[in-house]
Amino acid sequence: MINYTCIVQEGVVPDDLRAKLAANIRRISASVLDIDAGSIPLEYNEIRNGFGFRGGEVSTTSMIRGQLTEPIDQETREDFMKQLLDMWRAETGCSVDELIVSVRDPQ
Amino acid sequence: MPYYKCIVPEDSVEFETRKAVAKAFTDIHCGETGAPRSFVHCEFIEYPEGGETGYDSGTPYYMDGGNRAGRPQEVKDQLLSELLGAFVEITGISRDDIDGRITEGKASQTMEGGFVLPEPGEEGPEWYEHDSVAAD
Repeated sequence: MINYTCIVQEGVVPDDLRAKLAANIRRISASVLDIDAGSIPLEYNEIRNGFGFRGGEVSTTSMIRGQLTEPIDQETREDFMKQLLDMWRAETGCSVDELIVSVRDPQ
Repeated sequence: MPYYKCIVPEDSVEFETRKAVAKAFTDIHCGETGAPRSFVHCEFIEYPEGGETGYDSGTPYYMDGGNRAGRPQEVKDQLLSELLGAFVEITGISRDDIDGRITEGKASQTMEGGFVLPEPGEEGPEWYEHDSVAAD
C-alpha cells in the first residue's frame, strides 16, 4: 500500500485538473504495486501564494509525496517515480524542474 | 530537497520578510553543503491566534527541516544553528521564541529535476547543471 500527499502552490495547478492527476497517480500506483487503485489515500495540500519559496524566490514547484507501507527495490522505485513525473508533466505542462517526486519506504 | 518548513503565528511574518528568510536559508544551506540553489525549498505555515506550532518545543515559532541523509553531525548542527540564527536576525524575534530540527531521508527515494537525488558527497557535475536559480 502507498498513501500520497500532493503539495501544490496556489494558482499553479488548476482545481479542475487535480482529480484527473489523482486518478492517474492511483492508476500508475495500482499497476506498479499490484494493488487496488480505489484503496489508495491521496490528499492535496495547497501552499498559499507568497508562502512557498524555492532558491529564495516564489516557488511554482509541486510535490508528489508517496509513503509506502512495504519497501520496494530501487529499480522499481525509479521507474515508478519516472512514470509519475512524466504523467504530471504531460497533464500540467510544467517543466521537469517544477515537480519533486518521492516514493519512500517505511521507516 | 532540502525542505524547510517555518511554522509561525498568523500574520506575524510579512511577505518581504518571508522572502528574506527563504533567501537566507538558501544561502546558508548552499554555503554549508554546496547544493544547487534551486533545490532549496522553504515553506511558511501559519497557525491562528490561540493555536500552537504542533511541535513539543513550547515556542511560538518552529523550523522543521528535511535534508538528505548522510552528512556529519557537526555539519547538521552548524546548519541548524545558522538557520535559526538567520530567522531570528531577519524577523527580530527572540532566540528563545524559536526552536527547530533537521530530519533526514534517503536521497535515492526522491526524484528532483528529473533525476534521482545523489547521496551527499556523491554529486556529479550534471547535478549542478540543473541549478536554475542564480545566486545574487
